[in-house]
Amino acid sequence: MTNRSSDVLVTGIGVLSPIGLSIAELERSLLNNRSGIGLWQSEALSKPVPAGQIGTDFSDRFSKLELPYLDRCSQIAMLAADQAIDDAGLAGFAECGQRAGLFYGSVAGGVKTEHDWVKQFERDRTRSSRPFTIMASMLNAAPALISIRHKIQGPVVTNSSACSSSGVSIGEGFRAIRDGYLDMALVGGAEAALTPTFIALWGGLRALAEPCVDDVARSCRPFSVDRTGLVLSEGAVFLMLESRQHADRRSARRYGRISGYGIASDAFHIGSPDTAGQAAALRAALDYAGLEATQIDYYNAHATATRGGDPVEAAAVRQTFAEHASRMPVSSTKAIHGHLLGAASAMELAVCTLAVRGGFLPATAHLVEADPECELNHVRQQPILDRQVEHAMSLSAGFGGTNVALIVSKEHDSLTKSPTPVEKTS
Amino acid sequence: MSQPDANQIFASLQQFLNERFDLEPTGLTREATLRSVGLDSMMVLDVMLEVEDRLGVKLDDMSLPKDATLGDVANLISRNLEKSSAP
Repeated sequence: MTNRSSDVLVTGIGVLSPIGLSIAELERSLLNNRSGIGLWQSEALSKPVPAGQIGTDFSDRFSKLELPYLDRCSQIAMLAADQAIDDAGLAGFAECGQRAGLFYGSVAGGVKTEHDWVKQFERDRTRSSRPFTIMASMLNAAPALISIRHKIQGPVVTNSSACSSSGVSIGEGFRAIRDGYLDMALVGGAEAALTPTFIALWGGLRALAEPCVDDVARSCRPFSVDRTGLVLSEGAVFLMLESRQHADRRSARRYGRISGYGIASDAFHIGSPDTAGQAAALRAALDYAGLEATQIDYYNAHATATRGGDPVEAAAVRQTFAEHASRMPVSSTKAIHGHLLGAASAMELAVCTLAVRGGFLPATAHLVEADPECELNHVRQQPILDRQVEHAMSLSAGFGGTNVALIVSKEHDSLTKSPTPVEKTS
Repeated sequence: MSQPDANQIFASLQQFLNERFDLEPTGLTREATLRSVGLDSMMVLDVMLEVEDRLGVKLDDMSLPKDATLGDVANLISRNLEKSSAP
């Protein structure tokens, strides 16, 4: 494929997730299948639930002048954004004017701050919040704070479309560069919604996984015949996207190239996914990239491990990829990192980017017996190493019916970042 | 309750800003502007609300001059306390 100056390269990645607090740690966890799922409990809930937890308290990374505005969601978003910008070798965007943008996705934003305030209001009869509460809880707090810190003066856009939130943000940032409106875009998402009220909201849906009795780390089992539901997680992931022309001009090293973006809506049901909409997004991404279905070497599934959702996606994959579906390696890495909701697409695109850069196929951990309704060419239990991945694809399908497919492709030039030397532990 | 004098009010303000925002007391002079010590308008509002809670008074007058100093904030508190204790 001919290089185009408007090609969009990934020049930096920042990750704070249950399976790694940096891109190198994430890669190590994927290669070693390390699960970040553990028991999460609260006195306010009747039983513990499995959840993907980062665990660390990051408040000491901010001054007391900053903290009042920072819900945990904004804290992890800011730190992941710092990582991505630093990884790209950039020192801010003050000189870029309106040619640098930020596209962000989240489902619940500063939900902990908001729910804490509601508790004060209801329980303590407090009738005036602290002045910062409104800003700390708003959905676009994190991108606002990131834009202020790094002087991003172009579009700063927040998108919320459930589990595809950051996928839409990545896609729209990609498109803005590809169409010539921007030189650079920081894209991604964050979620920090492990609060009793939010967990109980999901509990009402009866979609959460039961804790695995033998090993709670194995509670999320996408595609498996014995799957019991999804596992909620927290995390923030950002990718620094840059036009090839801009990246070449500063000799920026790159992980790979975003080559496709497809977005399609089910227009079907607010809480039930639909094969047609997902297949339409997959097809649109292939068309945008100018790729045949047979050229996709790895597919990172949305598959959250719900009874209803996984077979719908498997059907969409079979419909889109036809015969290639029986050969194309497929996995859902949610088995080890859980569902990052607003950050899920960004997390899974980062996984795809590592697969392309490093030449390996991440696994669906804990997948022993696949549900016949989810029949695909699964990468079961362990990752497959030393496998060339030219193009990797990821799908996200959100409540409400917004589906996003993204494709990342290998870059073969000398500026491609070398894989992190990672030792696989037994 | 006897009304605190101006010096006590300023000392309390210094102490509170140190506790809540980690601001070094040495930089918290009467002449220092809010902006120069890193306080925005919402933080000042937060200080006022805290003063209301601690002293159990309602600050009716929240007006500060442009580019206000810490001295202006202390004066504002004094002014309100005088009003609230007036017969």
